Parts: sequence; C-alpha cells; structure tokens
Amino acid sequence: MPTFVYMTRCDGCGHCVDICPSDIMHIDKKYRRAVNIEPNMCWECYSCVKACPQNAIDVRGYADFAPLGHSVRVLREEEKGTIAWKIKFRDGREKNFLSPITTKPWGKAIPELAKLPVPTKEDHDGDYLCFEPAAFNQDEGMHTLATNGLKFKEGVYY
Amino acid sequence: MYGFVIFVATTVIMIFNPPVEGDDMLPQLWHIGAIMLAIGSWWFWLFIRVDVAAEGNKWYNIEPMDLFSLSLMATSAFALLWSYAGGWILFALFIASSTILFGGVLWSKFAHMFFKPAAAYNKRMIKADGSNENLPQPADRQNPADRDRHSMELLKDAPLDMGLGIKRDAPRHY
Repeated sequence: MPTFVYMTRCDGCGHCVDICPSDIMHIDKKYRRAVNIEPNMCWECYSCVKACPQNAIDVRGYADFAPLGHSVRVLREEEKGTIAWKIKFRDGREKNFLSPITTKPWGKAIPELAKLPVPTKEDHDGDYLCFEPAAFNQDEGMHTLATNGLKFKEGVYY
Repeated sequence: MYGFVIFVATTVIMIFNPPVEGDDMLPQLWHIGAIMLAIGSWWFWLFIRVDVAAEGNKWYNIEPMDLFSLSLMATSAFALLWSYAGGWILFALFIASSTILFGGVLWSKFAHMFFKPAAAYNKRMIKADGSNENLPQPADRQNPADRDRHSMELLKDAPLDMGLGIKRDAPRHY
C-alpha cells in the first residue's frame, strides 16, 4: 500500500517531491505540506520515506501480507553513510538492520568514464564487446541527446 | 513571530491592566510588536511568497489558503493605522481582521501554530520514552555494536563524516 504523510510532522521542504520516481508526491496548495496525490501509482520504493528529514512519511502495508499491527520504519543518515531499518512483527518480534549506503564520501569518487582508455581490439573480440556496435541496431549512427535535440536537465544530485 | 508574540502579549496586558497615564513602556512595546508584525507579514507577501518553489504565486493572486497571511497583514496594518489616525472605522476594521485571523484557525494555516508545538512536544516525548515512534535509533559508527555488524565492515576505512548526498541541494528540482 502506498505512502502517506503526517502533515503535522511535515514542514513542506519538498525533498520527497524531488525524489519520488513516480512524481506523485506534491505539495498541497492549501496547507503547504507534502501529500501523496495518487496512491494507486505509488511504487512503494520508500524513496520519500528515506528522504524526509522529519521522518514524516510512512507506508501502509497491504492487508493480505502485512496485516495491522506491524511496523516498518527506516532512518537514512547520509552524513554517516548508514541506513537503519526497524521491523516489528505482529507477534512482537523485532528485527533491526543497519547497513552502509555508500563506502566513499559523497561526491568524491565519481569515476570519469570519458577518461578511461578506449577498448582495444582484443576487448572488442572478447566476450563483452563482440556484438557491439551491430547489436545496437542503429544503422544511421548512435543516438545521443545532442543528435535528438535534447538537453540533460540537472536533477537531484546523487 | 516575535513581533506577533510581543503584539499579542502587550494587547492582552493592556486590556486587562490598562497602563496608567505617563507609563509609556507597554504602548511602545505594542507598537514595536505591531511594526515587526507588519514588516514581516508584508515582506512575506510581497517577496517570499512569490519565490516559493511549489507554487510561486504573484502577490495579486489570492487563494483560499491565504486567509492566514492576509488577515495577519490586515491586523497589523489596521492596528498601526488606528493607532496613528484613531476613529471607530479603523478600530472596527482592526477588530474584524483579528477576529478573522483567530476565528479562521480551523480553516487556515494558522492551525499549524498549534500543530507545530504539539509535534515538537510529541518528538521530545517519543525520545524520552525510548519508543521513537518505532524509528530505529540513530547509528553510532564508533560503537562496536554498530561498527562491527555484518556489512558495516565496508565502512571500516571510511571517514565518520561522509558529507551530504541528496541533502546537498535544496529541493528545487520540481
């Protein structure tokens, strides 16, 4: 089941709006707080739940596999590089998880793919590249953003 | 906000305990509060509101949600006008606008004046009684119980402060 926002806890910052891949988190015009405008289209990816700095978003569970009485809550702390989950079952069992979300500081180790060496002939004859570029099925040349007249719009920084 | 507090507090005090002749402090505080309130509310309406990423309404586009902002602006403006010019009409307008301000709590954003402190108090309560509304405890990477967990050894050589990822940008991309 989809996400919902505790409007009393929400401060209308918009992080969930930015990050929702389904574009269904909007800011309610009257209360200036976040709201899920189309629960049917929710992917339940938990992106908004993790991104909310106030932890104001929660997810309802489907009644057939997550009956009432359970709790699934997540705390994403990107300054520490960790994400923690706390799962409570109906019979009282509790599971706590703690995992890293990145192993290097944010923004520091982005590989510069353009500077990597061009594949050699041996690479092209090898397992990975032997079907390229014929397998792209692009007889008139490689499609790029530029050839299609598109521009890459800057989005959320990862 | 502080202007509002000063304004309301001095209003209440002066109603129930009118200042004696020659005692100027309370009326001056009232005026200071009203001026702060007027500057703040009008500044918001004319400059900040048009910038808000979600809607960015122009100052002349009025919506039902603007009940709070407009009645706040009207209250402070009429308070200062009545104080300066006197007369029953301005006083009546002042009373009317402040009635709309407080009476419209159920229908306007002014309700958040009550929600926000309640939510803040609720946050303190859940921290105090340990439940944290079922949220996990914040991670402590220096605590061996957290540091040596399965898969956390990937962070063994990482600095304690990893910087900001998605929080680095203000959410303006919508």
